[in-house]
This record gives sequence, structure tokens and C-alpha cells, in this order.
Amino acid sequence: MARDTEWRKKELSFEEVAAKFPDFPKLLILKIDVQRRGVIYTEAAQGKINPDIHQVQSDGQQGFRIEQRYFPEGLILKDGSYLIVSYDYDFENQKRDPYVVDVIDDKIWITDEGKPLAEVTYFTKPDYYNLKASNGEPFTKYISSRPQRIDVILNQYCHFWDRQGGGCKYCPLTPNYLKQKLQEERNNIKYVVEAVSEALKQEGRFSGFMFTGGSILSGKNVLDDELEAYIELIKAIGELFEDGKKFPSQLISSAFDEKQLERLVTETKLMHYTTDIEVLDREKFAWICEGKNHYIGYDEWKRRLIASIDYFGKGNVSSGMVLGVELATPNGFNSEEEAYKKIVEEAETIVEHGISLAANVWRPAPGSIFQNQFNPSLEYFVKVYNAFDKLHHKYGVGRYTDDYRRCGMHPGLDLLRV
Amino acid sequence: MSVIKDNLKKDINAPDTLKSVTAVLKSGVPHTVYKGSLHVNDEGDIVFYDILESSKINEALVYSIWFEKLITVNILTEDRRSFEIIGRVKESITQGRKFEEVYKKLKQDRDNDLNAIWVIEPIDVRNESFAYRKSEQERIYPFLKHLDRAVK
Repeated sequence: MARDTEWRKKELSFEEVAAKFPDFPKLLILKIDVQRRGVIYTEAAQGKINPDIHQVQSDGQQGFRIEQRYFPEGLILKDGSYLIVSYDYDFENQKRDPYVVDVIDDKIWITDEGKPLAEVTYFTKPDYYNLKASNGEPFTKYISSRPQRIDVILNQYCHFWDRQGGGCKYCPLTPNYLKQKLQEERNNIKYVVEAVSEALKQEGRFSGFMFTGGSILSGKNVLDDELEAYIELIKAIGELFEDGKKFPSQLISSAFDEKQLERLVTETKLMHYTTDIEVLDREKFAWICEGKNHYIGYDEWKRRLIASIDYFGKGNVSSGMVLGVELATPNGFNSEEEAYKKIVEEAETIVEHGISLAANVWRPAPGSIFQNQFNPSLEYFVKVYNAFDKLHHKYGVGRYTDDYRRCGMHPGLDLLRV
Repeated sequence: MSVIKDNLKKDINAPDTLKSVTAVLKSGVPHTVYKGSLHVNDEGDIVFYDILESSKINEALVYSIWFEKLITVNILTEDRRSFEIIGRVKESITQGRKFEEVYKKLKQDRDNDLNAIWVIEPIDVRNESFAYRKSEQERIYPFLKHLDRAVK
């Protein structure tokens, strides 16, 4: 599908959206749009990468992309927030032009049509990145890093893909795993702990963990094996921290039932629990997340999410979603107006329990089933994030996971900074 | 070139000088804190450390940088000279080598954590010392005085 050269005439521009929403920070509108449209780097911008200082895509593996380009892993903005842009970029099939990172007067800027919009710097590489585990493998095989967070993706493969059509249609994680013909589904926890121990030596670098991975459906009850795997991992890493205290950590897992949650909370020092509802509509969820719907179902997923508050406490539970995918074709909502109304109504039934919605911007990822689709307008994203923010403030939610500095993927949650 | 001249820089960087930062919250309420770490760097910018991520000043400074609101820094020297500096929030540093350097020092010296290094670009300075303002008012606004003070 060729790029639509007329796309700018068909939707409000960044500047027009900013003018329409004067109470919404312009810098966040830009962050949303960079994620929506993607970003590329000029040679001058690539020349600003110092391989001894900066963290680039080719430094390590990351399940959500397979490209190993010499591009920065992420951008740092002047408000101290981060922008994760290290996705695979489909140069051939983008509906809209990407933003361009360029160098102007020796400084690095996000630009659009040559106009400088925000000055940025690149992520710095953690000290452990050049070191190896005792088995000779690089530590980057076992953990990855945001500027302030250690990420552990335990299971590289998601078993919802075992059934035909069961994988979430926006997700490139398992398609990437299969495309690369990877064999090792799960990392050996011994080496994960070695990598984490090394990372923790860098004072002031990390302020939290994010544990996640593909779903594991096996076990006596569905998800029991996934639970066991995370308990083993979080217990092993928990040994590195003070006895009897939880440590700053977040698990993003499948939706565990009450028995499983009880074990998770009593057997580990995990602080924050996240299970991603992904799509805020029962019918769209059933289509887009067919596997999740088949094994657990929308209503049960949501019920378990809300039930997890009883185990982790208000402010310590959140749910991720892929904002915009509810408008995918052919079975998504017919208009942005309809989608906005439906998902904001549904969002309130979750946020009213004190659960924050970590919504990331859907950008059809190469390798995913939806890879050739178009994502919604910038105005739509800003409207929804604005509505979510009002709900977050109304009901009071946790502010410090999936945020501007520990994550950088959810620009809407930046609004909780003020 | 910075609006902060060398003499004022010396006053700001003196350890006995009292230094405050005021910024407006989203609610419109101004918020003031005292910042012992506040200093002027080699580029002429004002720099201070925010220890607590949940602090109100952190909220106010984020709001200021997002919506281009000006903030004020006030200093009171040991000999009771006072200056107000109006500034623009330039940057919040939340990671990187500089951040880690400051973090280690704060941890070592006072067992403190670090939320952010805030950088403010000063754009105007006003001498708020009482003796100076009094003489300025007498010079510019001679009308402003009670008559009993003017009688022979």
C-alpha cells in the first residue's frame, strides 16, 4: 500500500490539534503523534550517536522489533520524560510521513517538514550492556533497559498463538519470535538474576522492574504454569532486596484468578500488578484478542483485573490497552465518534475502582496481523487521553508505573504528573 | 549571556544564602519551596535538585515547562540583600551521567534519593532588598509618602 500523499489534507495537523486542545500539553501531543506516525533519523542525527554512551537498537534484542538498526532506543525530552520509538518501522507501507530526527545548530531535534518541534537527547546505555553472563552470553539477552527501569521478558513466545487466529491481532511479539526461528522460549532465570545483579551496581540508574512475557496457558488450571514461572522469577530477584519488604516492581501478566493472585501476592515481593484488557469493548476484544477471549473472555478478564485490587491494593493495579485498535477494520467501530463514546464509558467502569489505564498508541506494527491498517487521527488520541485523564484524577489512581520515566510508552499517563 | 552577573552569582552560590523557588500549580495556586542545592552553573543557568518525585514543586515545574509559565527564584543573602530572578524552566534531567553523579553525592552526603535536576534559564533580575527598593521609590515616586513625613 503506497503512502497517501494527500494525508495531511485529510486530518488536523499537530499544530491544529494543539490549538484545539489548549489545556493539553503541546509536548505530549507531539509525543503521541511521533508514536502514531513513527520516526526516522537523518544521517546527521545518527552521527550524534556515541556508541560508548548511547543505547541503540543493535545493542540488544527486544521482542517488539526484529530490526537491529543503529538507531537510538529512545528519545529524552526536555520535560524529563522519555519516548519509546524503537519499533520496527515499515518504510514502504506507512500511510503518513514519519517525523524526522535531525540536527540543527549542533542540537538534536524532532522535526516535521523541516520545522524543529522539540529538542531531544538519546537514551544512555547502562553499564551492564557490554558485559556477559557466566555462560558467555551477553546480559542483554536476559534483560533490557529503559532509562530508569529494568525489563525482564521471561517468555518470548505467547501461547495464545497456538490456536489458529488466537494471537492478538496488533501484536508483533510472537510473529517476530517465529520469524527469527528462535528456539529458546524462556530465559534461564539463573542468568536473568546474574544480569540484574550486575545492573543494580549502577547507582542512580534504575528505579523499578517490569516483568512480562508471552502468555502460558498450560497447568492444572489455565495460566498455572505462567504463574509458576513468574513466581520463580520474582522470588529469585526478590532475594536481592530487603527481607520482608516489597521492592519497586511491576508484573504485566495474563489475568490470574483469585487463587493465583493469592499465591502471587504471598509468595513474592511484587509491588504492582498489571493485566492488560487491551480493547475496551467486549465485542471488539473478542475479535481482536481472540485467544484471550476463548480462554478467559472479556468479562472474566475485567472481573479478575478488578479483583486484583483486593490483593495488591488501590493504586497498585493498572491495565494496559492498545488505544486506537478499536477502530481497526473490518470489525472495529465505524467512526471515531462512536469509538470515543463507547470506550470512555467502558473506561470509567474500570478506573472507578482506582485502576489506571496505561494506553499506548496503536501503530500497526510490521509482522502483526494488523500491519497494513491505518491508525486513527491525532485528534482522536488526544480526546481519549484527555477523557482518561479526567477519570484518573476523579477516581485517584497510581501514578508511578508505566509513567513518563519508568516506561515512556504511554503518553496519556504523563498527564498524571500535574 | 546570562542576566545573572558575577556578583549575584557569588551571592546565589554562597552557602549561607537562603534560596526559594516559586511556581504555579495546575490549580493556579503558587507553590514555594526552599532549595539549599540551588546554584548558578557555568552557563549562567540556575540549577537545583528535587529530591522527592511526589513533591508539589515537581508538579508545578512540570506544569510550568509544559505551558511555558515563568517561575521565580528568590534569594536572601546573609547580610539581608534580596533578589528576585524570573526564569523559564529549561530542562528536567531524570537520567544520564550527570544525574547519576548528583545522585551518588546526595546518597553519600545525606542518604537522599534524587527525582530530577531542574535547570532554569534566568531572564530577568530584580533587586528586592528593602534599602534599595526604598531609595528607588523615593526617587521615582516622590508622591508616595504620608504628609507628616514631609513637613518641615
